[in-house]
Amino acid sequence: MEIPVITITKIILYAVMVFFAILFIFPFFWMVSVGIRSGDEIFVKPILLLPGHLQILDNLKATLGLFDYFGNLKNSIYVCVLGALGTTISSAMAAYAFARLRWRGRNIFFGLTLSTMMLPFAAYMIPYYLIFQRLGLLGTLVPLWLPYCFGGAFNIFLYTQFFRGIPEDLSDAAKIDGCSELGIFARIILPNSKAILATVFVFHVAWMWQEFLIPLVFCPSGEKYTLAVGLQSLQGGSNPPPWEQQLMGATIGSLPLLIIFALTSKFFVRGLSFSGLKE
Amino acid sequence: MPFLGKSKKRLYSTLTVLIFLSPWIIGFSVFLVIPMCTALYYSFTNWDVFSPIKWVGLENYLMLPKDGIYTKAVYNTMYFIIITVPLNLSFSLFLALLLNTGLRGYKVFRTIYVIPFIMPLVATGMVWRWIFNDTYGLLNYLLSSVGIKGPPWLTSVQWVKPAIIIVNLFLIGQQIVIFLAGLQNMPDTLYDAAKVDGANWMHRLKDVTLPLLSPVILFNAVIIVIGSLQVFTLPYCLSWVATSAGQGQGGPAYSSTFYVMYLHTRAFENLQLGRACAMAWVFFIITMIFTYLLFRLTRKWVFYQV
Repeated sequence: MEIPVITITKIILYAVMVFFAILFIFPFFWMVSVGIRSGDEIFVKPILLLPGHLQILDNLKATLGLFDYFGNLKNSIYVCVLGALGTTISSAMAAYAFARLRWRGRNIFFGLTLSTMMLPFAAYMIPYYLIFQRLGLLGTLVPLWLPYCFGGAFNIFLYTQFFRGIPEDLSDAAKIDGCSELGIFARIILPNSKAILATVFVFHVAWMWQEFLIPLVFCPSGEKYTLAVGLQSLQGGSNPPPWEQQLMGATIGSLPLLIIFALTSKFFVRGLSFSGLKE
Repeated sequence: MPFLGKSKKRLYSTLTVLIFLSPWIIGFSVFLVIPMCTALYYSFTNWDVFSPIKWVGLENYLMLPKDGIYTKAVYNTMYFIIITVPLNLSFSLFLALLLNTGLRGYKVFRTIYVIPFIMPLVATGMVWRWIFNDTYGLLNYLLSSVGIKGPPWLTSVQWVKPAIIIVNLFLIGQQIVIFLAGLQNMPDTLYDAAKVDGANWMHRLKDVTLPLLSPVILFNAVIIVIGSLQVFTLPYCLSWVATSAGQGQGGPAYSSTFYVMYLHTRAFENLQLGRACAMAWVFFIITMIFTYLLFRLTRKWVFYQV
């Protein structure tokens, strides 16, 4: 009598999970489905779930003509990778000081660091912008990656959690052998932290890739647009391009990130999980 | 390095610490502290880029409540937070619990639930703009097939915010993963004890799981609150204003103008930097208050494992 009940429960649970999976993936499916069809299959009723008549290449060509996809793509890659490299190293360094070194005021400063995570960008974005104006860096992509080369609170937080978990014996042994702290950092901590390094890198790329407000503020000219801003321009104010082109644009705009995600999903999930645990 | 005198060793350590911390100290001061302080200064002036800076004291702050759009923006943001936080928390917890039942292949589902969170927000905004279209959009079409006449979502004063809330609900992948990690990290001992005492799944959920999960719930709540306060991209992409002002304003009748959007407009379109900086500092204070309240109010029920 017990077996059927368990099986029914399982079926129900699976059904619910599948239902939500379909729900969650539907917008993406819809985006592609509308993006690859021709305009006359859009304003029809009943609404067609799948296009009867594919128009992929035409839509693609038309969409590429609407905004500088490859230029924006290049900008996005440039900005995200540089920023990711910068924050991966600099945040790790700061986290080492918080996690592995003992010094007066450490906990206070760590608390202060964490609290900056709650600092809304909007609260300081104006003077932030002005700093770059004074430096003459407006109109370049520099503001979009340089600040992150000096560390980021969330990444420092992630690293610190992780570094705390590395056994002290390893660094003690190295110290006895006469290794300097820098040496310990480079030769012991970093090699043991490959997973978290990769996670921080991937996180930054994913975050910066689709960040919209910051590039919007700093890149008012088309050629320096990142993909996020370029995509948005497709929505066109008073004279928007046809829907299939907009959504084709959305599709090709999402593709790079989805590919990255597909390749690195392990790191994502691990990193997200890690941030919520108190170890 | 060995056998350094005590004082020399201290100096060495301080220097080392500074070497490791220096990038962050620079970043922290130059890109966070200095802008915040400068913003505070500007908020007491009437700077608008063209005219010379003049100290105006609290005028910018006092003018805020009189600004109709500002009060609307505050109202919209509060509305959004009050609905979004419990909604997203419960929904993501629900899905995490579902995933935690240990069914095979749950990882695939977890990945699927995360995908909308990963997708560029602008692209998400564009799809939903189409889904919410009042004549040919999918949502109203589905509603009409069950006999309900769907509202003109994005152009309706009452329905624009619920529309944004709906889209936001799809972005809970991050919360789901965090909850799931917390759930998977539970000690079995308490569960076994509960089972021995004859507790069924509902009791286990209420009396073991939820209390143990409370720090994670708080963590997610903070993330959602802070994210909701700063909501910008979604309303920017979804808002439709049938005027030449175009997008980003929040409409119709400013019913989807949120705080950061309005700040952005004041600063970068109206160039009223003094006023915008006042808004920015008020925003900071509001964020701090919310965070403090969140921690305070939940102190009674957040249970930290020893």
